[in-house]
Amino acid sequence: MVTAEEPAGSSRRKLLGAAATAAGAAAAGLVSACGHSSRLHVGDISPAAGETDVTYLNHALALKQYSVAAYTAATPLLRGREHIMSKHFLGQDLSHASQIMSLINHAGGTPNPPPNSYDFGHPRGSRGILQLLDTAENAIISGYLQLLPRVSPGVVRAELCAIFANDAQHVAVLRLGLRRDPIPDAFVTGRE
Amino acid sequence: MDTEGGRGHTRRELVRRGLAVGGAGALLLDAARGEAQAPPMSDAQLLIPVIGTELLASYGYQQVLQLQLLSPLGDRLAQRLLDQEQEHITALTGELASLGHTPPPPIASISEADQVLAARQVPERLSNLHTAHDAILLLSRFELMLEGAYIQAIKDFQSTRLLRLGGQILANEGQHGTMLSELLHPGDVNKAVPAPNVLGVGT
Repeated sequence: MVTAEEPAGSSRRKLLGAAATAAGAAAAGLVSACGHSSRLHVGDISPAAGETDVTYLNHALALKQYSVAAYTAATPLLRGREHIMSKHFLGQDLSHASQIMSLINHAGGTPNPPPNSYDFGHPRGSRGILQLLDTAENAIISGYLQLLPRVSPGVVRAELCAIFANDAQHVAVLRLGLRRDPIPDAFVTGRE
Repeated sequence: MDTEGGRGHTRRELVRRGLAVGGAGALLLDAARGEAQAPPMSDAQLLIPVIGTELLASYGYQQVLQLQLLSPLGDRLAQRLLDQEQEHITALTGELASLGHTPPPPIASISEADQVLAARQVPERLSNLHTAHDAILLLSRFELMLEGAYIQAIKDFQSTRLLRLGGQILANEGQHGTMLSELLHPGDVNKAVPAPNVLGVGT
């Protein structure tokens, strides 16, 4: 929990900004250390998948880079179970970023680097931080559902689905933390 | 997690034993045998095993609720998850009907459900549930089977509408698995969201 003893709003904002700036570099380092091997046969993707797919996949990467930065900024500000959760989800999002970068490389493209910084606004207390993370996760779900029919081959679509379904699990846990219904809808659209 | 080799073994076992399974169970098994022949499947052909798996899971939730093994909190969650599975079935059977096909009939008995579980090398049985822990493990197994079914279908769906619908439901099934784990291990995020990819087990 973020309490009165923790950094006041302005300090927290600085910390969020600094962490967000650092997130890209941290993500790059940790992603390269992940060594994740997809069970969905990424190697099957044709190098000729095309520039269009690379563009869409880079959009998918940008959404994931945002959430990695958000978790990187949020984790030091959270306490107890929320800290453990945020750290755990950051690790999974870094793994996702690594997967998507591999997909882009296999399609013959180059992963776009993350921006130098992100504006996360002014989240207030742990609830505000969890809300920020929930929003970032839902943006991924919504964005990936839009991208889904545009990418090929099917194994890439399945890999994106496996990723955003994990993000939907994150949303359920975040909503528990926010004392909201964790599974409000039978069809997860990311538009909560 | 299941493997391709495990699925092949299941199919061979089924053919050898000549299991007589009716309803959704038979269609699930037929679909599994047909998968080995590998011509591209139509969206309707892809939908049938997914609906069959949903019908199996739905039947499983109904039986678990009837057995009253779960706590009141567990019962409320199971009822909620059952309601959502039934929403999935309604949506998917509507899609199948729009393609001119008839959905598989529901699972008719515990023994039929157990035969499908055995064919898929699932160790748990609906006829052998004694505790809340047994029941939650079996429900979690259904969710893994559903995740696997959706992942397989999403690889090959041609329709944009079905791709998005399948993705939305897969995400919800992943959430179901998380909530069932929360029931067994409250507050343990490592168990609730154990892996960075929701892949389930093979159909």
